[in-house]
Amino acid sequence: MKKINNKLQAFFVVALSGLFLLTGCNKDLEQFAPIAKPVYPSGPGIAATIAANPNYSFYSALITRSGLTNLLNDSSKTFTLFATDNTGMKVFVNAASGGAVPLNAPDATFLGFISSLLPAASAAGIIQYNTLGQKVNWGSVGTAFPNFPYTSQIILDPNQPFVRLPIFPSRGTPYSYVNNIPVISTDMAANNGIIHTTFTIVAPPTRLLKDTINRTANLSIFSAAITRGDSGQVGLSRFDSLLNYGVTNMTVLVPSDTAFKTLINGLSGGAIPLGAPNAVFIGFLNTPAFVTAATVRGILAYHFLATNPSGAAGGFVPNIRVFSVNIPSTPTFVKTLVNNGLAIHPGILAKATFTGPTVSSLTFSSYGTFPPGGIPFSYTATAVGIDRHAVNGVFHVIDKVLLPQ
Amino acid sequence: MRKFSSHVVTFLMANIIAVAALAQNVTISGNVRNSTTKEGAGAVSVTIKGASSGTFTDDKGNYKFTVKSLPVTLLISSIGYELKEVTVSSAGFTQVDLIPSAALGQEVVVSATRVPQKILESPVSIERVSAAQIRNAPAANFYDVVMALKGVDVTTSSLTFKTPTTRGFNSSGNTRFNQLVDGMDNQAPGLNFSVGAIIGLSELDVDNLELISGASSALYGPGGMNGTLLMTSKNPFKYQGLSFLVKEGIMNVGNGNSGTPYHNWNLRWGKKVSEKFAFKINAELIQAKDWIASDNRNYSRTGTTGSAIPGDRKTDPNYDGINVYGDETTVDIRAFYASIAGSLPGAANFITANNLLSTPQNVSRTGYTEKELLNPNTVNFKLAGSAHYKLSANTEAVIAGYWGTGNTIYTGSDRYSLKDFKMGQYKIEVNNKDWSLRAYTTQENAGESYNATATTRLFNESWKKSVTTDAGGNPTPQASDWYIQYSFQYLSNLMNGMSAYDAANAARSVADVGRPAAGSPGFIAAYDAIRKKPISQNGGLLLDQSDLYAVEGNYNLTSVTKDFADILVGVNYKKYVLNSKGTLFADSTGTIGIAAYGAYVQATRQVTDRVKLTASGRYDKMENFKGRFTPRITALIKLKENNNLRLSYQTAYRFPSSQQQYINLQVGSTRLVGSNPTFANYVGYPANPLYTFSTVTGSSTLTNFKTFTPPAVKPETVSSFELGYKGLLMESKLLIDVYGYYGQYNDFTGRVNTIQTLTGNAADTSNSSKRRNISVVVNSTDKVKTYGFGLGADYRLPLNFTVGANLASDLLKDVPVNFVAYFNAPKYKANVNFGNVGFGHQNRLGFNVAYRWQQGFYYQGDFANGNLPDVQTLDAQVSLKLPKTKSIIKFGANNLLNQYYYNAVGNARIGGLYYVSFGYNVY
Repeated sequence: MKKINNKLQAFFVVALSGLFLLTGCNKDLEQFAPIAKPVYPSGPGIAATIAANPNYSFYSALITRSGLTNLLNDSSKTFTLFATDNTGMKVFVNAASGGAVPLNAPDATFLGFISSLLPAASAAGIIQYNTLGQKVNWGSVGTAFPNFPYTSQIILDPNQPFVRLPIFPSRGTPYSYVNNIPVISTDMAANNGIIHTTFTIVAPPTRLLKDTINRTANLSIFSAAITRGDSGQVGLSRFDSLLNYGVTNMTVLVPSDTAFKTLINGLSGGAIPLGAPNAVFIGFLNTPAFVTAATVRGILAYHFLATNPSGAAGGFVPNIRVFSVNIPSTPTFVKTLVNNGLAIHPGILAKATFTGPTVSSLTFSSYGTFPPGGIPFSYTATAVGIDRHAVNGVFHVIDKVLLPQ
Repeated sequence: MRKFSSHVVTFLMANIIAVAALAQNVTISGNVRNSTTKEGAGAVSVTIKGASSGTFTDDKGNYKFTVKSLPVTLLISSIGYELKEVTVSSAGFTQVDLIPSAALGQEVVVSATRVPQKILESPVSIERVSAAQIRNAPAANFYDVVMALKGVDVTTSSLTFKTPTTRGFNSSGNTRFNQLVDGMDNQAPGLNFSVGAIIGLSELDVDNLELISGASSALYGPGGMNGTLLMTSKNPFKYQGLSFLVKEGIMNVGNGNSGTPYHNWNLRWGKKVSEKFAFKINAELIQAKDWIASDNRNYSRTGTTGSAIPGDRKTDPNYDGINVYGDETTVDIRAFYASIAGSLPGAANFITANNLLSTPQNVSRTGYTEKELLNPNTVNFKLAGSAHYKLSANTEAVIAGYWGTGNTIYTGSDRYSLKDFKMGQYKIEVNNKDWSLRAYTTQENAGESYNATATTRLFNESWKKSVTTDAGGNPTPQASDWYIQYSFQYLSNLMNGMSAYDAANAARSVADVGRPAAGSPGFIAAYDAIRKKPISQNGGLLLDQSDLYAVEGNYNLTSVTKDFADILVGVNYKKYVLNSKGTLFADSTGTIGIAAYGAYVQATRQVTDRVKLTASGRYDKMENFKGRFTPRITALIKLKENNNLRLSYQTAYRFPSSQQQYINLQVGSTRLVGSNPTFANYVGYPANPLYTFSTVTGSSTLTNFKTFTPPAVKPETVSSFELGYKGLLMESKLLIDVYGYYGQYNDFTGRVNTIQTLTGNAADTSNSSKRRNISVVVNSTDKVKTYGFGLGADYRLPLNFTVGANLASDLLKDVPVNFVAYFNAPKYKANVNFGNVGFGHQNRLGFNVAYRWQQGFYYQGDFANGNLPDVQTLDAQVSLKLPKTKSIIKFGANNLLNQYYYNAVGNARIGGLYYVSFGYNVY
């Protein structure tokens, strides 16, 4: 028995010694492979890619002037840049300098203007407007009418930083555009994005439609008509509010003063001569005995292009920005705000005539005619000023007042 | 009937006063000491052979009592010593030396059949822990000794909140395992967890712990589905004198921690004032920095189920850390983007291109870690006292009170900080050798206890609203809202060319502007304001002050029925008074009372010399439920002396807990409601139906909706068969205990997650903003089966060395697919211990080394689920007795190798605790 006890003791001493070895390995709870953090690519960024290409040296100078070089080279971000080559930059500088820098000036003159005379804030505004916070291969740009709005880097409302000034690439055959500027080459790769080249700078608008219209000569009767049409309306039901609201995205066909005068002269049976002062024509519009506010409002509504994204009755909103180059060369109906009151109204018949990538003629035909009773859409206005770009839309000046019926 | 009553009264009175009439006129005295150490042996029984009179030695080993005449033969006995007979022929002083005994299996247990019997002859599996074992155990707290028993699993919520069970189904607040302290149900009446480690006995006052494994309702009433732990305190007639025990230690070592102190002070004073009157006072204080849960893994929740998933605060915008609170608030921000897209064509294209509308964009609020939120200071103070008066030699009246308060952390459906929690148990009882009568009450006060998860979510709302709503609860988003700021900034960041990863984190930084830093004065003031506000008033405070009132009596009729069988009968009545003022139960308009009563009878008959049969039956009835009968049949077959085979068929059942009946609590995004039929009106079904659902794998999308009307909930039951053997071998030096069991659970009570639309429109089930989550109590229609075994061996080596080992296994069988059983038991677990209670000079040295291993398993809890790895721990202690000063010094360690481990997902990780203790008069 003693032997057994001794053996047991030895066994347990050994066993307990083993336990010390065993107890060194409590494992942690089940752990998972971490979700991979993004690995950012190395290599030249967009600014560096531009800088490395001698054909873009002017634009590179513009980037430098903007102070956004580091941002555009940030490999943790992804961008699309609408840049222009040196030829396009010359066109821009020539225009921006008011012709002071002629197109045939030495390169150093252009560079000097960009680097010194062009305000840095303007340069920054251009670069921000030309930059999307996403990579957009040109092949993915939409072809639908009228274009494909993207958000630029210009923030319109600091309290809602996603409210951005939009820019409008449109892909077509044979020509593509950004806003109304032709695209001449696409898909230049950089490590943090892609670059598309436009004919010249795609400049950002700086004013709202209301302000821009008011600053444009020969449109004062339209402004007066707006005031007359808005009487009794509130909020964004007022055309004036729409034109002054930064986050709308409109296309407005603005009849010139001459167009209004022609119409009023006809409506008054010649009692108001074409040579009368503008105030007389405006007085006619403001006289209910001659024309009601509702009539004015209806006529104006016919000049605001619209779509109905919700499909609901009365759901037409002025939410498209149609540059001249977006209008097809075959006559195409475009709805207007009139469709909110008359859903089946065919809209306006629009047609663009192209010479190369440029629109040489832009017309809009209305259902109604003046004098009344003509064949629908036989009454055609021609754009006498196109692609007047504003923050919240674009307007084209037309030579006739379009009549919905 | 009246005649019968008068007989009973007469019988009782006879018992009480009979012995008082005995003449006593010779005083004898003496001293009993350990023959080896020569130290006085306290609490030794000194009785007159052939009579029932006697006494116990005091803490110095002295005894003194009067006898009728001389000579008398004294029987001097104590566990751990050989029995000694001493003849006293003359009045005077007698010195007696008791020889320490190493005999195994001599312990007497009471709980197995409610009558004293040798543990070797228990007809059901039972484990016993004596005061001597606690004294020699390496565990820092007596409650931890239970962990080393065969087949026991413990869930550790915090340093002082530990929940044991046997045979599976453990959790932080196990309601399937009874804990009785001196006969009183130790469960908090409202919070439904047993508080044995927090409020109950202090270590110096523990006489013994008895653990019945498995179903045990037949004798102890509802609840004992998986076992019953009975904790019995020391009687001041037997254990006398002043004792104290001071433990000073260190914990939170390593694992990035620098170590924090652990204090545990115990005091006990027992005084036998006379042969008729004795009293005792106990106090215990534990103060330490608690283990803080820091499982910050990402968790995907659906109601009260879920699983850990990849991702962290940086990589998952919807990160919901297990022990990070406040980040349970989640919103699908697509609604904001849909609104933006509707008004901004440019943004609409961007939103579409970035898939911000096509897939859920859930984002969670930024949370705070448990470490940042919960005060780790754990204080546990227990105060208890009792007065004992011997009405006769066989009848003792006791009035006792146990009160405790403390701070600790509990894991339920959320993590709860039990702050200034108080509970008192007060009883008056009369115990006769043949009967007992007890009345007691449990008075619970949740103090400043609060739901850490809910509080933190509300705290987040206090410094910045998630989404503003109108009086009707409809969202009216404001620019100042957290989700507006986040979603706007996130979209803007994406437009700035940022990656989704950077955009999300930068947006969070913007939305979190103004977020109070954890621990800052502003944080503390705001957080405290919410945690002190009742849950019913959009705070986190539990106002629970529920009570339990109970009366019970037992009578051993054996003296009358012994020719037929030993018969024991008992009755009890309980009344729960739920009072949470609407913060836990649906009791905002007044308290809720739940009454229950029951009765049992047990008959034991020695059928042959070798076979003893015991049959028990119990009937219980609880308000709102039909009555239940639970039988138990056991057989003890004597193979030879000290070798017995045991067979048993046991049943147990459990009425739904008070929470399962009446809870009305928002937990995360889910409202838990009770099973009481009144909740149908409260929730509004079936007019506005509930729907069950499935979860699309790998996403939080719900699908497969089916209408669901919760059926009436029934008590769950278990039937268990057990075969066991316990016996002494190898000249009584080896004790073997083996058992195997098979159990079947019927009407298993659990919860099912449902949804209900806010509109009553079935089509809105798929719209997360137009539905709410409701968790309802249900019985499973599937039968859940468990089986397992346990085997243990203890061997007495020479020179007081002992070695023991046990292995147990618990398994769940036929678990239906997707059934959440909360089994929570490792397939295998084992304990090995090696020790010596006395070696070296005068046997003054002692040591004990205990090793525990448990296999990993999948843990399921309402708070969190997940795989637990294998756990191995090594506990050890070395002690030195100082006989002259009746003191003992002990150096001990729990988890000696400081190998941090978890035994529940969502609970703290447990590390080493190292202590040195000085005990005076510890016996």
